[in-house]
Amino acid sequence: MAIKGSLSEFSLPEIFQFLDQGQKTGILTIRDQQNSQEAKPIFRHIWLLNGRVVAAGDRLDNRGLYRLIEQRGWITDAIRPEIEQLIKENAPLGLNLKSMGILQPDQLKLLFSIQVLRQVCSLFQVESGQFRFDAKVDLPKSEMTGLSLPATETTLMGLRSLKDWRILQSKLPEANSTLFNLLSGQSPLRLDHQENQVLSLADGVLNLKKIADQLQLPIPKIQQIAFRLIVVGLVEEVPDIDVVGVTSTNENMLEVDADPSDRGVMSSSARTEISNSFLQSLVGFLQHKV
Amino acid sequence: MRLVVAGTVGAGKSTFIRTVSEIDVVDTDRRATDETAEIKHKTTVAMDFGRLTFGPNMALHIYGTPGQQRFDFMWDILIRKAHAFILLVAAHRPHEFRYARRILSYMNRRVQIPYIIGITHMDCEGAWSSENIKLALGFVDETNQPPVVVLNAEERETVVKAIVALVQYYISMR
Repeated sequence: MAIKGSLSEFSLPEIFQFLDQGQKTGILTIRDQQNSQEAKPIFRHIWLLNGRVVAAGDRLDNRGLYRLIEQRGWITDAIRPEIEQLIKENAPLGLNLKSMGILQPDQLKLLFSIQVLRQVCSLFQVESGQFRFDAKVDLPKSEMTGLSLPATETTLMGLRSLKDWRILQSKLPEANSTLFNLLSGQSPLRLDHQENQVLSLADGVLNLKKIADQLQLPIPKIQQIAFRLIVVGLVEEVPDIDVVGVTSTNENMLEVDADPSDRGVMSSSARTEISNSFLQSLVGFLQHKV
Repeated sequence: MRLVVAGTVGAGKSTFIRTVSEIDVVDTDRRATDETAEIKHKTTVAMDFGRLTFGPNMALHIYGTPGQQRFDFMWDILIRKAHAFILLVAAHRPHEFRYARRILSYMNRRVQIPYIIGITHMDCEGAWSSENIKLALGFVDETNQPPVVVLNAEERETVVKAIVALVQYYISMR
């Protein structure tokens, strides 16, 4: 079943978190509508295997990686027919060229960087776009270098270079929220210095305002760093009580009581114990209602 | 026994309570402000209250959390006395999944009471599947997930079944 929607509703970092945690395999297509005034909107296709990004491109002809290799002059006429055959068979192009000695590991890393990192990271800047994820697709092995990156690590890289955070403003954690570190050991992801600093202060006690004070960084910056840590699953945002809303809700407060026949002020006593006979009666009553 | 109905804006919290309550649910709807107004023109500002009486001095009290996206002192009062809660999530509003996660974080860090997830609007266009919604809410481990039910807040039968599921889950966790 395809999942689709607007990036303004479900952001790209959230999509990658979803695909990574679900270890999804399939194709994520991003349609950038900003350029829809021209002849065609821009499409980007990102292929994932078990939650890891394995290839990316702007078309579906299985020749994107081939074009990148050719642009760099790494294909000679002698090997061209062999490569065409590999593409035709949808064989893993990167691994085959490496085993044939045509490409070295460093070259594959460069290709992966251009193919995936540059193209995917730029998608975090897309303001108004649509996404669609299809799970039931065959992966184009001829587009794969053989390298891969967890979707969440791609998110970290993309968000670190994001200049305009307005598109994610509504997703950022509140300044009075606290962060809880979800790790039991060291981070499996490579974090930069500021991310490590915020992670070290994710103790469930300090809110983002206090973290900003301690690190002497602006609150928006801390919110952005915290968002990065949240969407890659390293910390959890725990909202705090908003004391600003106290006055307005006081007027509308509903007063209820434990006595079902009356309504009075809700007491501050602890949660009442429930007997087994009460619960059995309740379940019986409810099942009768059904 | 006190149950709380929490959830995202427009997920059907007030409707849920209204559908099963034997008493008129006090209408605490007020004109919605800010981004909530883009979804509904009215939303619950304080809380909804409903009741089911099933014997002498035996009643189920159902409280609905305020609809606007802030956690004020009312939330704290509600959850500290609740025995269990259901989190309603609208299947066709992925925009709200992040807020649903925040609700769960808020609740689970403050109280440790059983809860289930209730998915609404499953028949609406663009509705996500239960499996994908669970994932979007952060439930990755199949062995460590609350029960999930699909319901229509306007249909009494599905709402009652959801409450049965919640109460039975509460019993199993005792």
